[in-house]
Amino acid sequence: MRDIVFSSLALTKMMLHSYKYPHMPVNGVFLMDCDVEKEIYISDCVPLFHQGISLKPMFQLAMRTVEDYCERNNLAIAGYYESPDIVKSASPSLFAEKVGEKLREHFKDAFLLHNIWQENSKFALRPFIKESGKWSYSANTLNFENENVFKTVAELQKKNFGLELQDYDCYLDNFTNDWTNRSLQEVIMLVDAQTEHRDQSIKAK
Amino acid sequence: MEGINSSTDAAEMSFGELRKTLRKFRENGTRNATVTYKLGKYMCDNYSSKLGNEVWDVYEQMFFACIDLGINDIGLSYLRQIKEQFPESKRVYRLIGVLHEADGELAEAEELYKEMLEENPGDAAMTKRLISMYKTNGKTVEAVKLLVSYLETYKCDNEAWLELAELYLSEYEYEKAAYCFEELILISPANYLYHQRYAEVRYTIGGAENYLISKMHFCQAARLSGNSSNRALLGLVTVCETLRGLKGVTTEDKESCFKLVKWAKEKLTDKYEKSKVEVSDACPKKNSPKMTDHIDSGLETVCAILDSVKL
Repeated sequence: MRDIVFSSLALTKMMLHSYKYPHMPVNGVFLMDCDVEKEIYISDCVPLFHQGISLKPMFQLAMRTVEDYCERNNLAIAGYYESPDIVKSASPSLFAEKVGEKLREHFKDAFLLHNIWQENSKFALRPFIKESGKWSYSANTLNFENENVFKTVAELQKKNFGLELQDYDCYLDNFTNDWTNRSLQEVIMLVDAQTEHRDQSIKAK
Repeated sequence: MEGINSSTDAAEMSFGELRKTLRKFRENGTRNATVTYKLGKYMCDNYSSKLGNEVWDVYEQMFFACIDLGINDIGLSYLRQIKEQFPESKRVYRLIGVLHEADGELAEAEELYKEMLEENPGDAAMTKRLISMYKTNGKTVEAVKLLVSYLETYKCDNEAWLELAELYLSEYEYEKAAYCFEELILISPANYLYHQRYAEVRYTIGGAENYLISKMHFCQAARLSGNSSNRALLGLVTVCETLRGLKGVTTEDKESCFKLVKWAKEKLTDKYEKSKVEVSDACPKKNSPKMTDHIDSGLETVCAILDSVKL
């Protein structure tokens, strides 16, 4: 299997999603760039729901809309994330497994990710891939494009950008809410470039 | 409240505005800790004497905001002031319990709640605190048990039925969740949200019979919301598409599905177009097609569904 590399943009959107709804379980999908061949490059993320995350109708619709979007932008859905409000077990939820199966029909290396709140507002990221018929924890699949992505998130959170993130639920409330988060995207990339740069200059000293 | 967000400067607001905003947050149960803390702190620092007796409500509000933000020690300072004023109040005991919970002292919190409930079994607020504590700590079984017994006494408590439904949903107990929504519809038949959720649950369970019930309640939700609910309209489109492709559904039902989808599509197209105009008007760079990309994708999906239903 090819390596999975997460862009800061994708991870940041996912974590801001949790920050925006700290008291609710959230879910969403990861998009990979089909132009990149040597690795599975997760270029973006679509935050989906923060209420009724185990119900089908709106979820199905969201998946179709995102698929249409992917097709037009040469992307593909490569993974699904959820951050359960209650961590019941170390394995993906029933719903996540079903979503994972669906994703595997189109992309056999599809993965699931648990995004879990920890003390000090940090996150634990737990990726799962399907091996010999079972979803199992696979620590090595997680590679960051920018190792400082957590600093980027902290920086954005400090400035309250988390509240500006819109998920598909928000879009259903009002179609003007942009689930692709295009305007937030520029801010994320700018802050991420800064944290990366700062880190390099510290190392240089 | 639209204008109030995290970048709002409390210093630029008058005493009256601050008081009105904080009051509104309390009444609506708005859980916006960052903003509440910012405004509340400015209020307490500058106008606490002006507030009169309302100051205790603001302190309580600040206490909860602090807990949400994870600054428990500052929360404690507000709690101390409240406790000094009302040493024997049950409401204060509940706050102490909440602080125990926030500090991770779950056993202490549970003991406190149970003690209070033994003294006064009818205390609804305390029961709810204990339920929510069970819930956040993953003790779903205990939470469900307590909720069910609570609902035997307080049959018309919408909030509690909704909570129970959510708990069942998190456990994938769709049939039981559906029952809760049936109760909610009986209590408040005119609330479109309950119809909508009920329709979503029935759809999730699946099967021709459930799809038909789902269709009916999506219709009801659309009607009761004055066609304003996008979820109801989109749900209607989704369930009709499913029904059209199903065996064992009468031709008559399939006909009605086709008509409904056509109707819903018209309403939705209208909304999509309006939203597009709104987005492009707000966008500084005129004619950048990318800004409405998310709306185009949505419209495309609905059109594709209509095409498939036609066949």
